[in-house]
Amino acid sequence: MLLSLMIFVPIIGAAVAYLLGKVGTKAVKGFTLAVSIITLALSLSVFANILQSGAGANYSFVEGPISWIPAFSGVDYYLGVDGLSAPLVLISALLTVLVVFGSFDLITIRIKEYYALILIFEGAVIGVFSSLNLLLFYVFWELVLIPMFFFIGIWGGPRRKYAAMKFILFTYVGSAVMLLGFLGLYFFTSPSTFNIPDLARMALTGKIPSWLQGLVAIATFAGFGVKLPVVPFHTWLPDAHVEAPAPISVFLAGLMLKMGGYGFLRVNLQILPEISKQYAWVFISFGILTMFYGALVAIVQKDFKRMIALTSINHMGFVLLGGFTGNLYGVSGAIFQMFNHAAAIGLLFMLSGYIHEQAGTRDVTILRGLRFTMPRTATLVILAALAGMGAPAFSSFLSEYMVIVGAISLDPRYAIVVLVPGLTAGYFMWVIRRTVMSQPKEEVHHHDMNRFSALTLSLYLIPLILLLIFPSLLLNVVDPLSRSLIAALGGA
Amino acid sequence: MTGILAGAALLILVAEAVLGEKSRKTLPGYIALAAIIASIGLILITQISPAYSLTASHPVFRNDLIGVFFSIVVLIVSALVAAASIEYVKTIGNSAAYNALLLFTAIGMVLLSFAADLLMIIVAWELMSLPTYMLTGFRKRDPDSTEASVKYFILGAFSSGVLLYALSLVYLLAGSTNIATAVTALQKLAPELNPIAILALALLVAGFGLKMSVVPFHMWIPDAYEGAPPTVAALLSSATKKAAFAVAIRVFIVTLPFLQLEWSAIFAILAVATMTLGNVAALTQRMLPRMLAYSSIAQAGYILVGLAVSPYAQSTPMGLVGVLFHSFTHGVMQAAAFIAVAAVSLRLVKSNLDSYSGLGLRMPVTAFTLTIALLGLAGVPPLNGFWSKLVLFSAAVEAGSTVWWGGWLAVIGILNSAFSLGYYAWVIKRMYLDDPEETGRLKEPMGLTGVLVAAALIIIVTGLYPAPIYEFAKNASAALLSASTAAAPR
Repeated sequence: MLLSLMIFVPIIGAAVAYLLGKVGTKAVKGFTLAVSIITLALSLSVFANILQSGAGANYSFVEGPISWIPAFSGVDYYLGVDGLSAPLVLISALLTVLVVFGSFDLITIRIKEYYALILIFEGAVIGVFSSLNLLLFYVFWELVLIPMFFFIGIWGGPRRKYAAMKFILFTYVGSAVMLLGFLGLYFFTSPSTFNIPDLARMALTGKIPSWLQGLVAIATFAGFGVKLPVVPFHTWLPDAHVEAPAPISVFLAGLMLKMGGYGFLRVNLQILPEISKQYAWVFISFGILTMFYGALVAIVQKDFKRMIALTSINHMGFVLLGGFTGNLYGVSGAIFQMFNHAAAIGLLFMLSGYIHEQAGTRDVTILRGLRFTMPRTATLVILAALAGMGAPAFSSFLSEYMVIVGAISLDPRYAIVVLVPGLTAGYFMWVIRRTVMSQPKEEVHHHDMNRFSALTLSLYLIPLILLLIFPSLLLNVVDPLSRSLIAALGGA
Repeated sequence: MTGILAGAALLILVAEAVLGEKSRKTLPGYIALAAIIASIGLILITQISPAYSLTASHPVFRNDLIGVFFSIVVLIVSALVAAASIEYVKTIGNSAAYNALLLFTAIGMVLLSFAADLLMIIVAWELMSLPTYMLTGFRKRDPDSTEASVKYFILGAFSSGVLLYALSLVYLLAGSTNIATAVTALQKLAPELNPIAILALALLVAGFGLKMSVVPFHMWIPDAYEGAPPTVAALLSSATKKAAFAVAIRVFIVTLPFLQLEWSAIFAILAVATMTLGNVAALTQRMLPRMLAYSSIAQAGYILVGLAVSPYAQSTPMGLVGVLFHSFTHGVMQAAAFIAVAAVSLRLVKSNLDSYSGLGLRMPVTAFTLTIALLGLAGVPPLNGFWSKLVLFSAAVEAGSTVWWGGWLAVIGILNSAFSLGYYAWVIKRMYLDDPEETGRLKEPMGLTGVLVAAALIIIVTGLYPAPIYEFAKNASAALLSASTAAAPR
């Protein structure tokens, strides 16, 4: 029941939030906040339960399978969370609360539509992470697109229409091809099913032939690769991120990219183990390419927000790399990285939104002396940059470290990826030096963010600090699952 | 049941003579709507009762689930159209004639759904077609409407002729006008008669294809849909096209396997051509009715995928199920889209896409329901269009294990469907993201928005819970296939 509640309370709440628009914008905001906090509380209890029982390797809170179309066997309503999905459900609920807070200041038009779409988005994302049926997964996966199209298209920047169309076409075509892969999986295995646990079991016993695994891996690569995004399928991302309003960029980078990473770990590692092992080098190469591309292109950006967008391409490369190393460091590190990246990149995007709001520009070459003009923002920028570059002050350091260790222990030549955090640190340092540590130009008066905003933004840092000190809070949930994934891959 | 419809049609004509000026405007519409709803009720009561039996066949009509399914589909669409027309036709006038013609079309479509005799097919086909020619030209002072009507009439009459010739060739080969008897005869067809069989097949495809909007017989469609009143366009694309598919299923699925021809590969080629051309042409349109016309062509291509792969089904006749299922979902979605066009055309003078800018703020209910319909047409889950396309493409994937082109058909179909979001989303972009040329809230036509909300609810509810319709379609297809094999044991 708990998982269904977490999906459908927000979705039904969306209709209520829209109708509350007649009462007033305060009511809409308050109601949305309340719903998102309730969902967060539910997801915390789910996470705590799994942490306590140590049952990360198995599905908990399973609902179903309840037949959705009885005559079409295998299409079931089937939910459950394990060590891979529980952290992602938790971060989805957490980011939604923070996004709602962040939207109070930054979103000023068409309030009721906005908050209704926020809640639909939350329900759909949690649905993606907790579906145990590939078709249900696909339904939620596509449901995520619709709110995002309107977010970018209505509340976005100057080129929002172009960005929204580009975004929806890229992702929709990618996921249609992915669906084709799922259909292949359904028809060429027996008994035919879309249920992930059943398919994983079949994969373990070698009932999914390798030619089928190969075809499905190619098809799903289009879906997951566009979302993650893997270079060369990334071109929608900078446009979408730059045009989206800051809170929505948090959703995009924090949650939507995770859907791609989740797909790779869930489908490729669990259902297509043979291909994932045999052709791991292909995926790893794409991962490394993505990491270097993201880092190198970020260096030359002048727009702070575009730079962060490209940083997140770089960070998601770690997920792809770690996932396919097939060892404990790599796989756990990849899941850990998804969690950390969501929090860190969320804060960075929110800050870019505030800077744009107050200073009227995000151009790094123009912004000067933020530490004098906007001290609260400046402090947070430094902290967020530390988190973004993977400095040992926050847990993102741990996850990047784990992925790199995992890669090196697979093959020492992969040590080349050590360069990536160096590059990332380099351009973050450059940004800090240019914008924060410099002298302001004269006669510039920016208003700093208010205390409440500073406080809500600091909330992003709590999980990052907490997990640096107590990484076991997350890893105890993740590790059992990673072990079972690795066992399925035939590794140690 | 057809009695109700015919009676109502006559009643409307009589009422025209008796009634006063005021009630003349709307009363015929209500009578038509009531008659259609009563017929749906009657079908549901009599046909889905436990006492129903497949063997209760009449020499001219086959009383089977396929007929029930399609007649319900066309009647639901006719009901939506009739309800929407009550308000729309006020602007044209002559409501009695309009509604009487609508009912005659409905009778033709229902008869066609059940027809199992070649002669009956021709008669029902004409009964369905003739009123639509007049309806298309119903705005008689509008040159576009008249042109559309003439164009449609000439091609329609031509297709009727082709069809008549094709069916007479089948009669020549089979020696009977009854499909079931014909099947038995065709099995023992002498090989030297095969060229005639091929000719008959080609002519059948051309004759049906014109109504089914199969490329290359699609040329009349954009003009007709654009010129016709939008409610009539809804009827043409959602109902008469589906009735044509119903009879095509009867003729092709039941008869053709016995002709030993490679017809399914031909259908696959037609499917690819139809959906690709429809989608590519739709991308370039500036008028919403034209865009919907091309989209309707593309959707016919998806349905053809189901027909093409239907012989390769394994345990479930998925291809056929998909044809039925998509006929229903597409019927409702396309009708909703055209009714939304009708609603907009009552308030805005121009019908090009630019005038839809900012409609989300100016006519929120119409814009929202149109959005639902368009997303459904694009196959976005969890709307019902997603499920029916899923079944169609599933069938193609499944066929991939038997014929080499099955998988490719699925790939082309899914890519087409994905790219089609390009123009559907374009309309949504216009309505919600673009700024209008003139601002100001428009008063939405109440009657039409009511119909639109009803259609949107059907799209959403059958999307969330598609099981009953899927099951109905599955039973109907299974019954048809088992009946056709029982009629002529190999």
